[in-house]
Amino acid sequence: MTTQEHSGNRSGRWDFESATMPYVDALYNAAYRMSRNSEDAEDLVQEAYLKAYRYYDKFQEGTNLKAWLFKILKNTFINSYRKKQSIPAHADFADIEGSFESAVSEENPISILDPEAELLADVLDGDVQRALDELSEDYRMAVVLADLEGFSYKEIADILDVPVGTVMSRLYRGRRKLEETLLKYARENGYLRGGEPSKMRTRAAEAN
Amino acid sequence: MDCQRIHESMFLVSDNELEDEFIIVFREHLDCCTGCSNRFEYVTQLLTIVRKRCHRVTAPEGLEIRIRRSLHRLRGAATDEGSA
Repeated sequence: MTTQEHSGNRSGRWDFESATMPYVDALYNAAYRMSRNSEDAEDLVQEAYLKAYRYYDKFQEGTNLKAWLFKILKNTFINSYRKKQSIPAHADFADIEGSFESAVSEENPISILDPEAELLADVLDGDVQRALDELSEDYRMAVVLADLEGFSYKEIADILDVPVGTVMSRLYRGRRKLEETLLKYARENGYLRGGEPSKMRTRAAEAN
Repeated sequence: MDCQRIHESMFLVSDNELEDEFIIVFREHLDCCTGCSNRFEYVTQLLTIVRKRCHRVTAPEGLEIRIRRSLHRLRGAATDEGSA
């Protein structure tokens, strides 16, 4: 490697590595959550880096580099990985995806009872990961970008190429689904530890 | 603002996606409505669990080196083309 490469390179490709490498863990984590296996996650991240490098001059300075890298990662996942796996895009919930308003209006507003708040104490660390993996792909991506990576709705909309309203409804549905699954696990954990009063109540309620 | 609207806004408030004026009204409602206040506490607890307790995987040790190597190869190929 020679230093001459640096000269005359306006877009600063030489700086590419130092600018982007700090995100390798975050990208890998997201890739792992998308593909759910480490081998594919590594390939995805590497492919995304190579693509990003080639198109680094398309990155608009002053915008969010991390979001740009995540967008490339997401597109890489959809274009190559998913094609390879021949998973039909959005097949499982294309028909139910709608506005945030419709997501919310499906809700039963009094679905949350006190015992469920107590139940959260029985959620174990591994449960969160398991519940996340159970989400359908689009919900999982939205939740990972918001709750694990801390992106704003607008950034997520940009990464996923969907309107902000869609981000809101995916997050809403995804988190409600997560909640449901976590409560189910918490109940199972509670049973294993032996019934306490709150669990007994829930168990009784469930039996009805 | 009714409870349904408050209920719908909880994730958005937790995500810091709403204007300050809305937050003021939202907080005021919670101060006066035990149902919504309990619900918001629950939602906050749920999100904290998801955010803090989801195990983050870190990239395997060799990955960064692998990427850097392939970038160097790519750069090498580009330089060769340039000098040809």
